[in-house]
Amino acid sequence: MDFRTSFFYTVFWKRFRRNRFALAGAAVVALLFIVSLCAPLIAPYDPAAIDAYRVLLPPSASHWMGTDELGRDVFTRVIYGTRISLYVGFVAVGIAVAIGTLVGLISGFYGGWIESVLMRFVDIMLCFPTFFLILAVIALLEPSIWNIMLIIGITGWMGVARLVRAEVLSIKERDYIMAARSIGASDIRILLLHILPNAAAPVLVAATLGVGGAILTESALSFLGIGVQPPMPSWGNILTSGKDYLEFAWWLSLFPGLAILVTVLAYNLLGEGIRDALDPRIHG
Amino acid sequence: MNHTLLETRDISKSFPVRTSPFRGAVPLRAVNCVTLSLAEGETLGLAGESGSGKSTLGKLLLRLLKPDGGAALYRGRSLGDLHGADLLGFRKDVQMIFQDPYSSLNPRMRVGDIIGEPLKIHGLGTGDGYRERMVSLAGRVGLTEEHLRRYPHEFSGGQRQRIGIARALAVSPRLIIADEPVSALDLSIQAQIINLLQELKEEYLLSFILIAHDLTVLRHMSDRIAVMYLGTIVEMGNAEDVFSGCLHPYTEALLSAVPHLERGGRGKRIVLKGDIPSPLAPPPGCPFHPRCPHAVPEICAVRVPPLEEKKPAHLAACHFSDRLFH
Repeated sequence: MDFRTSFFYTVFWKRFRRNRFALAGAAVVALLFIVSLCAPLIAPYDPAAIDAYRVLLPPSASHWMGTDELGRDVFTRVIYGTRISLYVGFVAVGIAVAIGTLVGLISGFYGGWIESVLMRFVDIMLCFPTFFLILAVIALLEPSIWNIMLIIGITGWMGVARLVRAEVLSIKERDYIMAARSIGASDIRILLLHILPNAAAPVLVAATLGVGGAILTESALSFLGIGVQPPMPSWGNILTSGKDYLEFAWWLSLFPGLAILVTVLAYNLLGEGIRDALDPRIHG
Repeated sequence: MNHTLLETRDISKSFPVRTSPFRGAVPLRAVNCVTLSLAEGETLGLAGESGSGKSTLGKLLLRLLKPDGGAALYRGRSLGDLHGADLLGFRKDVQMIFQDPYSSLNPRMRVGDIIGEPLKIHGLGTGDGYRERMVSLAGRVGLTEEHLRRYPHEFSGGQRQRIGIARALAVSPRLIIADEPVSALDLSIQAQIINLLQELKEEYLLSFILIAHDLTVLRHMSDRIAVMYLGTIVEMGNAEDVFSGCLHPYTEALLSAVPHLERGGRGKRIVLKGDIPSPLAPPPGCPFHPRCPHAVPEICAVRVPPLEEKKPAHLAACHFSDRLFH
């Protein structure tokens, strides 16, 4: 790959690196990746190790974020929680982007009744209050990390579908699509080679912002006890146990709460930074 | 040499336009009963103002639009009947060059992939021959091998147009339809591109349909000229005949608008009144009569002048061409 002449290098990166907030977001996201990959190396304890003699200890040199009601190290559990959060965020958003892109591409490209049917379906999906839909579905299914990812993905693709459709509508009128037709390119070829790469930028932005949203949803569900199930540590379910001891063990709520805040903020800053760097005047 | 390559028979195309949410769609007649033909090896110039339907006609000829009436025929077969391998063969034989060198190249594809795409689609995109062909194509239009690895945004308008020309040439077409190939370029670059097209035409024995509003561009390359006004052809004939003795007042006005360096006071410029009428509400009778300096309202506003052979191989659609241009 001739990296230096690519669109990414010449335009995108030059704009992106001028945005300090976006760079900070990118740095935090990168840090989170490293932390979740190297969790066993960073974490000082076993996340499931119960110690009845060290229950609800405040932060100290040996337990940076204190211990919980079962004597487990909170720092260790927050670090392992990073894994769960990123995992859920990425898989859920991956599902949403896959469905949304497919629906958006097909409805934007073919138009007519196909578009009407698909877009009315999007409207119907958007009528459900997402969070309560998730609650209802999880109440029927078993609460597990897989079901969480699946259900967040299946309820979150509509925005991407609308975005992709709008992009396709404008891209398909460009001359290079007509050029592709006039040399005999098939619909599949036009969709995958000519339309999709040019519609990818706003999808990337939506996906980045979506990861933050998905992490938040997962935390909320876990907090309510219908998300990731203990003893698997997730920021949401650490918070749940924290709320019972809020008066005398603030560290149990503060640190996972901070982790959620910083992570979601980082994804939002990164997503907005990417959006600003992909200014509509230069994309396409 | 005299085989007909592409022809149209009374081809028409209109687009439904909704002018107000309370009324139904009104048809915009972009192309209205156009009959023309192109012989193998010939270059036909399509002239006319913006809105005269010449680009729509180009798209009909490429089967990028479906006609409402009439038909376009490629080597005797209606484009509407082409399917499968026949259609792919047509897509190989007939290529297009676009007006806007910026929007006609996919910004996310490397130049090599853009030029190579027609080869890949037509099953020629493999082996050693492919690489060689790419390099020779690039060289033929004035690009280097190194350019093939770059992205379109790194090139100037003229270079981008060369990329578009290389893409059109890649699969050895018989006919190239060029829609305003130079009007988006600087004057100095225009001459280079026109010369390149001229060279390629002679080298590969190409037929051309050249769409342009600029008559100087057409004069340089065309064997025959068709002048369009409001979706119809108002004059058609050999380029020399049209330029030396036009038979329609609209062509006369277009020709008088061409700047001459050696003018020296001769030739009066005819300035047409107003704009081209809306194709949503075309005037009755001769489409040109509201702007025609010679119009006789009793006749021109009532009867549509047919496109007739006024002189050998020289057609015009004007009631008074015999009287005006003897």
